[in-house]
Amino acid sequence: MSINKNNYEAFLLDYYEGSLSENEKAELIAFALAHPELGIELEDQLQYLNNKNSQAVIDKNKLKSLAAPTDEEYISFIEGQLTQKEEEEFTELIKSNKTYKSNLEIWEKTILDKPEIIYPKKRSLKHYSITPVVYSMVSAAAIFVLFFTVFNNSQERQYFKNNGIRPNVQITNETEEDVFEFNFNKETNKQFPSLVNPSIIKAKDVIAKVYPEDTTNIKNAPKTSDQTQNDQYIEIVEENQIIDHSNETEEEKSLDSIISPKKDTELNTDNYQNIAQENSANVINTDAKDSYSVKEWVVNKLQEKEILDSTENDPTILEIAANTIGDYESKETDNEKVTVFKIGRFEYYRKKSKHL
Amino acid sequence: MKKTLLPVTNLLPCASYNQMTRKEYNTSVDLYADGLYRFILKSCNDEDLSKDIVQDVFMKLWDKHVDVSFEKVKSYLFTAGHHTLISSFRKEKFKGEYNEEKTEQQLWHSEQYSDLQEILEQALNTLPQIQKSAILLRDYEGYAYDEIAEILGINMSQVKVYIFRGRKALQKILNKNELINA
Repeated sequence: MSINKNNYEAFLLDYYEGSLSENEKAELIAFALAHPELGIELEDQLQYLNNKNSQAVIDKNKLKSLAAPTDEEYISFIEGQLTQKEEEEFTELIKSNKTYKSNLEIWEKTILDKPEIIYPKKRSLKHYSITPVVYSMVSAAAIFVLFFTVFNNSQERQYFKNNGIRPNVQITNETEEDVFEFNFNKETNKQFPSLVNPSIIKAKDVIAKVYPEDTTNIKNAPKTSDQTQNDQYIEIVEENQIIDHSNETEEEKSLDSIISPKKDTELNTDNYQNIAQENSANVINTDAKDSYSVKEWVVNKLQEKEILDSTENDPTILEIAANTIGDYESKETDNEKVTVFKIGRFEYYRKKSKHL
Repeated sequence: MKKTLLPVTNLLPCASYNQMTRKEYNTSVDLYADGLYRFILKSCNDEDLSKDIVQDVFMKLWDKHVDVSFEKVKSYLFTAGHHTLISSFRKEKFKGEYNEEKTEQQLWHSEQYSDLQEILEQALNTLPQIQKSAILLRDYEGYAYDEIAEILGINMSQVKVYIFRGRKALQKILNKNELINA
């Protein structure tokens, strides 16, 4: 059992009673020398130190080793409990002996590293209050959103009604054999950001929307030879030229309209008539056709956009289209064939499903 | 007789000065939930139990937020966490007594521990709960002896003794491990 500050009194008692062995006596003397602050005075202390022939001081190294740092000192050091002076002395002592140094390294390892542990449900612990002010703010926000939605919707409807343009319009017929997308979206999407995702409307609706508009100025446009290979083509006509389908070649006549003739016929339903009657106030030209093929509708819309966008200095859409008409790309996958026609700034997509 | 008006502050209940606001409570969650969870988890090595205790402690805190000041909240949380943990151990008849022979047996016959942290964790789990808590609070949270004493409900001398004994036990195990690896 080593002597330390907690038990040295017991050793002192045994020392004075003469019951300590020589080794224990030497250990106690070493302890007393190492801790002068305790003021331990032993009769044999000087004698042991001065008498070189004494058996107890023969082995100085043994005595020195008895004055090795105690566990308490190691712990006090790693716990930062030593005074500056004590710490300096302890550091000196450690440096003087490799064993002490390695012992200290082990002691230092007993200090635990803080692990990175995070409580996973911290948010659930928190408390959030809903004050009357917040209630009123929420109510106001809800009313605003509701009003904005209704207003925005009506604004959009008015815009489409007036301009006949719908951004990202996706037209699908009822059998979903063909899907057509019209991306008149560059400007209108900015104006109506709520319509980022394409709205799907049926061809009937689209035709009904464009019904009141004048189509007498739709003109023929030259088409590329490649268009015939893609079943469909876009007609762009020169100004003041009336569409005359009687001049179409047999090959052109044999082409399906984008909406199949059957579907075109189906569009002339009572429902369509009802919608048309509702919009009768906006009918500009009473000679307007009952229904349009999609290609006619596209040309019509292009023309409308031209009017909207045209300025004195900029070339018109049709002028641009005249130089770019016929540009197209086709991509074919296992499920569908997609043809992209580029007309000026606008693109016209045709998707055809293969398995329906 | 001249009347002396008391300052307005004297008329208010003391609690109104010290009570924790909702914002302070939420700040406490941000500041101390992780530390508390770490302390409890390392004390009991049971993830679900630790989460429950943390939840329970914060519920208690919110219930008593009128009586607890923000300055004392950390101490309150760890004290409540420690007490809840001890209660939980008692309910489950947990035996946390340090058994030196068992410890040595476990460590000598267990698989080779290559990672120091793993050895330390194993060694830590062999300590009595009170020693373990004292060391965890000291090393993980950096508490002073007097703060640990307050949290664990013991005096400062006892804290020192527990930390001393705990570290000595850890050092003994590490020393043996060093000898094995040497």
